[in-house]
Amino acid sequence: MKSLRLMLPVVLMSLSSMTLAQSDAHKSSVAPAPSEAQKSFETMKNLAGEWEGPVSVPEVPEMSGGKPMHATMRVTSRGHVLVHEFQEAGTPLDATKYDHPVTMLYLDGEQLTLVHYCDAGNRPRMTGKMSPDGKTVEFELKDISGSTEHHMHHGVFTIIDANHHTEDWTFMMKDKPIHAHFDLHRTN
Amino acid sequence: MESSKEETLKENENEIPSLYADRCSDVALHQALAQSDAQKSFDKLKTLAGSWEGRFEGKPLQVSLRVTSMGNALMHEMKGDGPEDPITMFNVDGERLLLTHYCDAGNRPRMVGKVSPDGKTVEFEFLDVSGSTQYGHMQHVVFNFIDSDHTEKWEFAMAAGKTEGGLLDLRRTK
Repeated sequence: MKSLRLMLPVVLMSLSSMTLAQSDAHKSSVAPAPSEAQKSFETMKNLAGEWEGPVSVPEVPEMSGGKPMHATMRVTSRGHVLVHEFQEAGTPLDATKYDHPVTMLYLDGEQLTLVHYCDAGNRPRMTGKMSPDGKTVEFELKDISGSTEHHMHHGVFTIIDANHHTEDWTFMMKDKPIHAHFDLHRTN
Repeated sequence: MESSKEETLKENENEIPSLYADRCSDVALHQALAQSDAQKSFDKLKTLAGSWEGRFEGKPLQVSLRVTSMGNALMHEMKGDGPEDPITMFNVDGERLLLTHYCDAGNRPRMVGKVSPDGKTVEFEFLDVSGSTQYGHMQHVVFNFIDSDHTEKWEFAMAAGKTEGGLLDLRRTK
């Protein structure tokens, strides 16, 4: 239970000590510029909050125009992780009845990474990059653990403004791509 | 003859549910027998889904466990009075039960878990870690089922080679 007490005196104080030590050693120096991955991650973390909006799936029209989806994004683990959860809006959490995929986003070295705990039962891992204009973060598949027959393959977050973003997820049904477009507005 | 046919049909009708039930029983039995140790361990952990409360070194602590991803993942979240809020994801990966601890130390240790023969304990051993281990990493976890309550023992490997441990005594609130 390092995180909640043991880790406080140990890790956090170590971190503080390290930070202070570094700060002392480089008092006159400027903090290093954040890497591209860090910038991308910070952009993603700005999306923390509650979001809701419709989904459209061109390849499966019956999946479009239904109940809106609710997305929750939370910064956790002392800022090291952004958790993304999807659920049909206005429904109780019931893992046996509703889809409820969870995606964990974090920095792995110099790569912005996500692991998608898919309701298909596998866990695709993707690496993301932000566009030069800072408005889009695009994730490409790196690898998958679990079955690869059906899997999430690609994700794009497009930031319209502070209260509006879209998500485009591509799911592979064997060799057939299924595109889901989520148009999400901030509710909190 | 007709009545005989009807009787046969009736007999068959009566048999259908019974045969179906037998077939279902066979399937269920087969599935039960075929269920891997990893799946059994995972199912055992999933019984902890809910909200839990305890104290650690005098301070209140909340733990939530949620079954997500159509039952394919269990999400464990700890909340105290700070920003740590580490999340641990559990899932079956082939023939093993895995946890990935998204640590507030910034790394992600993975561990493999097994349920004890008496079904009262699920113990996780360190597999590997991604991310920096400059400040150490979580390396061992034990879930102990005690009636309707449970304990969690988390062990952290310090960068200096020492280990630290913490026991959470948790009571269900939901």
